[in-house]
Amino acid sequence: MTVEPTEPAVRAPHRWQRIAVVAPFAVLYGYDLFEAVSDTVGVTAQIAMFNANAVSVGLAPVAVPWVALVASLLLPPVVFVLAFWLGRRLPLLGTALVYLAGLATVAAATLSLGTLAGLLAG
Amino acid sequence: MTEDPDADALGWGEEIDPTHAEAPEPRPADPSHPRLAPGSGSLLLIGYGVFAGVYLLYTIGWFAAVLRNTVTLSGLIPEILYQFGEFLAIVAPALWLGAALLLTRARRPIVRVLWLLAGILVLVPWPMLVAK
Repeated sequence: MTVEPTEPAVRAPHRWQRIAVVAPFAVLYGYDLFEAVSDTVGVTAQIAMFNANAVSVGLAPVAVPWVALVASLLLPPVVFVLAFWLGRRLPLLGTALVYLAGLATVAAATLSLGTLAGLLAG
Repeated sequence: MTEDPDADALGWGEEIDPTHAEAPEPRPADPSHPRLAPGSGSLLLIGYGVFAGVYLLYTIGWFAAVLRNTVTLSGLIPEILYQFGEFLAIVAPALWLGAALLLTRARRPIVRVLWLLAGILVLVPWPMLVAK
């Protein structure tokens, strides 16, 4: 009697399957980075315009919240790399959960940074 | 149990019944599986309960913050993605909890506790705490 070779209970996902899971997250993390860049450009331009007017009417100029802006620029790429590193050995569903949790963390932390930047600017 | 339930009342149970006075001593724990110190299991359980409570409060906090947020963006796609981001902020504590439990399944409890602590530091709902 011959024994049929049995398949392992959990097969390692193919490379293209992993790419199919990661690619949509890469787009969303990329959009977060784009948003952070456009925020940085918009906020600095707005503050520069405000300061030009403020000086002309004798008001104190407002400082650019560089710490919050740079942190929000760094968040998406850093969290994406972390998610990639933490999820590389997990099954596909676990990988997706790690990327989604990272994306949610970026979303929450970006909202927090916006609030804290406003708080620091007074 | 015997086939006749009435007969059960007349016996002392099986030899391995731990309540049986002459039952063999329970086997010692497998030394290859280090056990937690007595009492630390329930302490951990209480700790996890506290963590779960804080994460639940954070979820409520983010929900309140998003309700209060009046930011709207011009353009349909940016607005949809901004609102998706707000939704993600609400579910961020639950997702962090899930991911932390998944990533620390086979790790020591202290690693899991550190991950959960990190989530508490990172996910503070500042927009809810800071009055505008």
